[in-house]
This record gives sequence, structure tokens and C-alpha cells, in this order.
Amino acid sequence: MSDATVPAVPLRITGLAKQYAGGRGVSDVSFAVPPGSVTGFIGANGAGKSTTLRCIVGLTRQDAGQIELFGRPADFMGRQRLGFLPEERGLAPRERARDVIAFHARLKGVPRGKAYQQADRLLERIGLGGRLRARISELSKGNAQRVQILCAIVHKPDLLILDEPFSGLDPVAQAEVQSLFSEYRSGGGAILFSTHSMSAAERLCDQVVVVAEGRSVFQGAVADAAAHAPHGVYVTCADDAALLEVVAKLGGEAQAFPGKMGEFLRWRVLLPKTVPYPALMRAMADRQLPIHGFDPIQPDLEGAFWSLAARKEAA
Amino acid sequence: MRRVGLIAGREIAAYAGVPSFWVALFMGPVLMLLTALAAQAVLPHPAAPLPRQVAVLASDPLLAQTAATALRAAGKLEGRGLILQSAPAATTVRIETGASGMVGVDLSGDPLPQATLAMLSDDLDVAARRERLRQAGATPAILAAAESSRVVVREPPPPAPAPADVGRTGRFAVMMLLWMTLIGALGMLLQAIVRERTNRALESLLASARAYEVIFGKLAGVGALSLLVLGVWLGAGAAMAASPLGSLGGGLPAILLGAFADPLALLRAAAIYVLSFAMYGTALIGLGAIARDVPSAQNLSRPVFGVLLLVFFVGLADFAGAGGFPWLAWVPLFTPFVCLMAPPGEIGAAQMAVGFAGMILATAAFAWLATRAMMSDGARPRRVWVERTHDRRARA
Repeated sequence: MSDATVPAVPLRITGLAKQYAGGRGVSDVSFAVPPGSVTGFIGANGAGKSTTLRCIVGLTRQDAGQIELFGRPADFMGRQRLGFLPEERGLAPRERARDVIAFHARLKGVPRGKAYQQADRLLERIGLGGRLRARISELSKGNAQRVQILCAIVHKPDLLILDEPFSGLDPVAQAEVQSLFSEYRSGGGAILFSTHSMSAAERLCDQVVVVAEGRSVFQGAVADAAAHAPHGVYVTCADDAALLEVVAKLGGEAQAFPGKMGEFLRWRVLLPKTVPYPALMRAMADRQLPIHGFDPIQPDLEGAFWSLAARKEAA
Repeated sequence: MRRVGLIAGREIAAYAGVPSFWVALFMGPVLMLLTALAAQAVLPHPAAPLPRQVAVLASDPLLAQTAATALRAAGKLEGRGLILQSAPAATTVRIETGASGMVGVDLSGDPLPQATLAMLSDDLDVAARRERLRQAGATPAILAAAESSRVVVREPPPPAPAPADVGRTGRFAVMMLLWMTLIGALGMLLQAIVRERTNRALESLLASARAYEVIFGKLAGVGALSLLVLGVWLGAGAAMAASPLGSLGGGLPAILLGAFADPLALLRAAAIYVLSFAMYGTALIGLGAIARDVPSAQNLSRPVFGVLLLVFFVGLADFAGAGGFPWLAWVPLFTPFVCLMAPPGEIGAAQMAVGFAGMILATAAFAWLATRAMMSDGARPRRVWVERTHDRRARA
């Protein structure tokens, strides 16, 4: 970490709004990243994750709201203590891996010799020690992406902001990157990363922030988020009309789930807490409905996410 | 400042690491040399005139010798040798002395130039008079005194070889040098920013450096490279001027270097170069930042290169003597070129200061727009004013 004392809250956002034409952007995002924590920033495509992250690192100016970095309103000096991995990744193809990492370190104020030393160490750490002088164009896409992640952490930032860090990485590379993050975190740094992957968020995060349609709808521990998972079942059957009748009779509600299972629609059936899953199965069997899929909604982040996002829509 | 230097260094490394840059750099001097050599080989050289063949026939050997000497001296002045031979020759000069002492000269064959005839006539006249005086008993002192009398005709000095024309050529050459360097550097700048946009490296850069640091870093890097190009080209020009090829093209390399001989003129040219590069460079960076790919960058930059084409034609027209362009110094996009083209004194210090201030203001405006374009993520911003107006009307 840098020499500066890490304040209690590396990042605090209050009422952030940034609107684009066509209704895109964010309208009210508020959350905080505690020191030394890993915070998952989850939301559907277009929910406003990237807009929020761009506002934090200063790539976009917000219309309203406050962003505080390390206890002070965000400014260039505060942002020098951030590491950022943008969603749109890319490096100059002719640049050499160690040069580009050292360049980013030097931009953040690391002296030349130390920057190259750190670049070599990190490349060694991810198994590219033998390819220090390799050009980016000579690396595989996954390796090039790993080099870019190294660019974000080479100056040992106090807060690491990552926009979809695992997209485009194979499982081995993902594991390596996770290991890098663990190492970084063990040094006291905080991480905020956006992701679509609920399993990654569940596995890595201490807390999550759920954003839906430009608003933050939840912030808290992963276990607390999971408690928001609804009581229900994912059902696929051949007769949608009959299924809806059965669900209505049980006092539940059914929502068509994006994505089909073969030729049939997948339904998200929410049941009253008093109605157990087998009751629905029994009712469907009584009507002799051919069942193609019957998966109870798990009390996990994915289930909670749908519930939280739906709550926002209802509001 | 440190970040500007780092970005500039990265820009230099990006170009200097490509072999084609060095090929392009030395292509200029090589082309210069090849053109000069080709011109020397192809352009017609004036052929040396053949020696004139003359037969001098005279009964008096003294007059024959005098005539031969006069013809040889005239041939030297004319740059043409003389071959004296016995008849028949191309030209025959027959000299006869009459009883009254009159000397007659008859020419036949090819005519002799008037100047040669005049020299021949004068020298024979002097020789005949001297002989008559000697025969009349004149002493050598009298002869010397008689010959010391000379008529000297003084002509006004020939007009100076139009220094104004040489100056105009020099100024035009300097202006063209700026123009060519600018065209090359602007192309590099456009490439530099579009490259960052298309390979998506710009966002990482902007997360670590301020937008204006990125702009001025790129300007400094490409500017340093264009100075290298300029230096190599001027060096090649100097080498050519110092070589036997220096007289080719009307001594253009020497004229060009002459235009830089005055330190004040050099300083002025350097200031104009820096300002014009910053002004056009920030404009191109802004356009490159707006563009999302190479084709749109080329389309967007077309107006700028259109202005530069207009600048070229204005310079050409001024060189041809059309004149009437000093007022363009008020227009920042034309100021640098008009200032370089104008003869000393045509553009006053006040007008030049205002022109320079205009360039600085234009640079600041372009830089501001470029930072806005660079920080844009390509999404259309919400039209807040339009929406508010719409809401107000709806409420009313």
C-alpha cells in the first residue's frame, strides 16, 4: 500500500446520478466500501455498474451526488491511490509486457527502477517470468488481460476497482487472478468489482451492492443478501396455461423467466411461505401436467438478486 | 509535468520502435539526393564552343602578329579558343597597308562578332600608328607617352541581382518546410490518438493521468519526432548546399539555409512552428478523440487538411506575386504561414502579436474541446435543458 494512512472508508458514494439520453445511466446509487473488504457490485446489463465505476475513477462526471475517496471528496490526488481495470480492455499491441506495466506504475508516481522491479516480480508471479520482453501482440488474449490487471495493481493501490475482471478468462486464469486479489487483499487493500457472476461474487465477496435500473437496492453481507432469496421454484412444463392456473390456486405467482428450456418457457414460480415445493409438484401431477424441469430457488445470491431486482421493478 | 514526459516518451518509443519510421525519416534525404543526381544527369549542359579557325594574311608581319594577338584575346573574352592556320580557313582576315599608310582589313568566310572586330580594329590602329611614329623618329619615351593616353568609359554599375526575389524564395521554402512538417506530424498525432481509442488503451491512461496531460504528452512526443525529421531534412539540405550539387534548383538548399541564418528570424520561425503545431495538433487530437475508428477519424479530420491545402495555395499564389494576403494573419489558422511568407515589415509587430495571441487562444479552445472529447464515453448525454424546458411547458 502507499505510505498515506488508509482512512476508515476508502470509498463512499451518496446519491450518485448520471443520466444519458435514452434513460441509461444511474439515478440514485449509494454505498460504501469498508477498508480491507471485497465488495461485489452486481447488477444486470445496463443497470449502471460501469457508469458508477467510471464516475468513481473520474472518467465520467456525475450529474449529482457525492463521491468520497479516503474520507475526502474525490479528486485527482485521491484517484492516484486507486487501481482501475476498465471494462473495455486493451493495450498497445507493440508494447512490451514489462514496459507497459512499469509505465502505468510510473504514471502513478513509482520511481523507474522500482516500477520495473515490481513489473518483473508480478510477471513472474503469474507465470510470465520468461516472457518479460514479449510484446502484447505475442501474448494470448488471456495473458494480455492478466497483464492489464497487473497494470491496475502494480503501484499497490489502496482501493482496487475492477469492471468485470473475470470476463474472457478461462478457469485457470480466473483462479490465478483470484489468487492475485487475495495476495493484494492480505496487504490491507480494498476491492470493489463489478460482475454478472453471482457465484464469483458469493465466493469472493464480504459484501455485495446490488444495483437495478440505476439504483442501488441492497448493500450488505452476502449471507444477508441471500436471505432475500424468495420461496419458489423454477418450473418448465408443456402446458403454460394449466401451470398458471395451478399456481394461482396455490396463491403464488408465476413470471416467465428469460431463457427457454428446449421449446418450453421457463417459469419462476413464487409461492407463499406456507406452501412447500412438494405441494406445487403434487398439484401439477394431479392435473397430469408433463414436467420438464423443477428446480427450487436456492437461498443464494442468484435467487436474492432476482428478488431484489424485481422489488425495484415493482417499486 | 512528469506524466507529460512519460506519455511523450511512450509516444516516441511507439514510433521509434517501428522500422518504417526510420525508413520514412531517411527517405527524404535520399530522395533529395536522388533528385539532385537525376537533375544533374538529365538537365542539358551548355556545350563548350569549338575553337574559331582563322587565317590571317598580311604582308606586314608586325600587323599579322598584332591581329593574331587581338583575335586570341577576343576569343578568351568570348570563351572560345582560336586556331590560327593558313588559308583556307573558316574565316580569312586579309590585312593590307596602302601607300598613304591606311590599313585595310578584308574579311571573308564566317563572320566575326562585333566585339572581336572592334578589338582587332583598335589593336591594328594602335600598331600602325606606333609604327608610323617610330618611322617618323619618335623616341621610345614619346611612344610610351602617346600610348599612356587612354579613354576610359565609365558605365553605371549593373543592377543588383534582385535580392527581393531570393528572399521571397527563401521565405516560401521555409513556409513549405513548416507546411510539410506539419502535415506529417498531424498525421502521426491523429494516428496516435485513434490507435489508443481503437485498442482501448485510452481509458487505462485516463484513469492514471489527466486528460490535458495525455494531450500535451502526445503533442510533446510527436513534436519531438517531427523536430527530428525537420533536423534530418535540414541537415541533408545543408550537406547538399555545401556539395557541388548545391547550385542545383537555383541553389535552393543554400537559399533555404540562408533564411535561417539570422538568429532572430530563427527564433521567430521556431515560435511560429511551436504555436502552429500546438494549435493544429490539439485540433487533430480532439477530432481523433471524437472518432471511434480510423475511417471516422479520417472523415472528421478532412476539414483541417482542407484548410492546410488552402494554406498551400495561398502560399503558392503569394510566391507567384499575387500578393494581398497580409490580412490573413488575423485568422489564427493562417497566421503562422502568412507571417513566414510576409517580407520584413509587411506585418507589423502589433498585428503579429495579435495573431500569436489568436493562435494561443485557439490552442486553448481546441485543447479544452479535446479534453471533453477524450473524457466522453461515446454515449449521448441527456439533453437536460431540453427536458427541463419540456417539463416546464408541460406544467404550464
